[in-house]
Amino acid sequence: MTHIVGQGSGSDPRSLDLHTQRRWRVPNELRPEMAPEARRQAVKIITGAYRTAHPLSSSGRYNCAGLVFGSRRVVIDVEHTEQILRDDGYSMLDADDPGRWDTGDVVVYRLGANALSHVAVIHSVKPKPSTAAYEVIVVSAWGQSGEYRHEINDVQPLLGTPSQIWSKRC
Amino acid sequence: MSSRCWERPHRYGRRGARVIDRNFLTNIESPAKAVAWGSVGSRARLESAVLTDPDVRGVLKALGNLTAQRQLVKRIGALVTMGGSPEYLHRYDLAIFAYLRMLDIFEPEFAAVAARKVAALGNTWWSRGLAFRLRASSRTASRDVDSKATHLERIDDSESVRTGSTRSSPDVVSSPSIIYPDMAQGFELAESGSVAIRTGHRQKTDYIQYVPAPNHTSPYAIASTSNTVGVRR
Repeated sequence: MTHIVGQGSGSDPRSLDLHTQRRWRVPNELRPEMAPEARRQAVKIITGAYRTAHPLSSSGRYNCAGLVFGSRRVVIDVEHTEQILRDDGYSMLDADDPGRWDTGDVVVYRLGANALSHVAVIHSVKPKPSTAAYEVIVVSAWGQSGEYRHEINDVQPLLGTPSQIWSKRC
Repeated sequence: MSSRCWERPHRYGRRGARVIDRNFLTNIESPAKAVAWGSVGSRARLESAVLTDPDVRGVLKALGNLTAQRQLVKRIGALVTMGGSPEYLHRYDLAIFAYLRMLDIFEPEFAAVAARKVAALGNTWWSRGLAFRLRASSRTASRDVDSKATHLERIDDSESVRTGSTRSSPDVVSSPSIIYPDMAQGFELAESGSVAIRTGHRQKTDYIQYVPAPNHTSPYAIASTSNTVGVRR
């Protein structure tokens, strides 16, 4: 892997000052916005392909981690997710027990050999008596392709599958 | 596209079969592909997504051929000019990233040539980072660095950098203008740190301390080459 020394750091003018609660500076970058036509096209493609995806923003300036940890301002490499969660005092919940999940909890997705691939925030958790299961709706940014509210498993394959739930409650 | 090989692949006659199938390129440049690849949350994930894509694999199969490599360089050159409004992200940012990455696998020198055009673009994001990396790790970039050697001379003169063969190594670069061409002046300092440099089978660790150059332009450094360099802070 190649490193550009200082990229995304405090010396990078395309980066905002953002720290975890333990004062670790979160590497981040400002990304140019996508053209309006491209944004509309992205929303159309995603809402057409993913039945539960409801667009909340078409901005491409932030990604999934930038939404969750950067207040929709910057791009944060999703691979920093675990360090941010630990630094900010999140703890992991049982991934098999949606009954304990709640609004605001963070969902971490993984792809392939356990690689971190996506992060989302839980919007709602509702029991579905008809199927004896829970309907979990999350909010997440799909890279530069916009922000969506969607069912937790209804994401494009490159974003992986939900593997961990983190919460501030305990 | 300015290149005729794009419009008329059969122009290459008997070797036409070796030229990249236009359908692969059309798919790679399609909005659907940009949306899919653009959804990922990190550069590592994008690289992985690109290299496992069926259309990319289709191109890679043809890319051992010199004509195909040239076709791809020309295609990058054409896409660079088709980015739309400069205030927005380049329309083909992700396609350019994919092409650069593919070229880098087969012919790093061609990739570096194409990367020079891409690095000059202000409105790319994914491909820009890769372009800097390719330039830094190539001999072409090394020559570019030499042409910008004034920064490095200043660093050496100040005796603040103990980098050994920094100037002769293609691994370590250069001035802020390479990384951020539009911000060559008044750039803040990067962090100091130890840089492990491996060239061939040799590895050494150098320490780079960033100090203001005499004229207050700031030196900046890239440590580079795929899978061979680590930066420890």
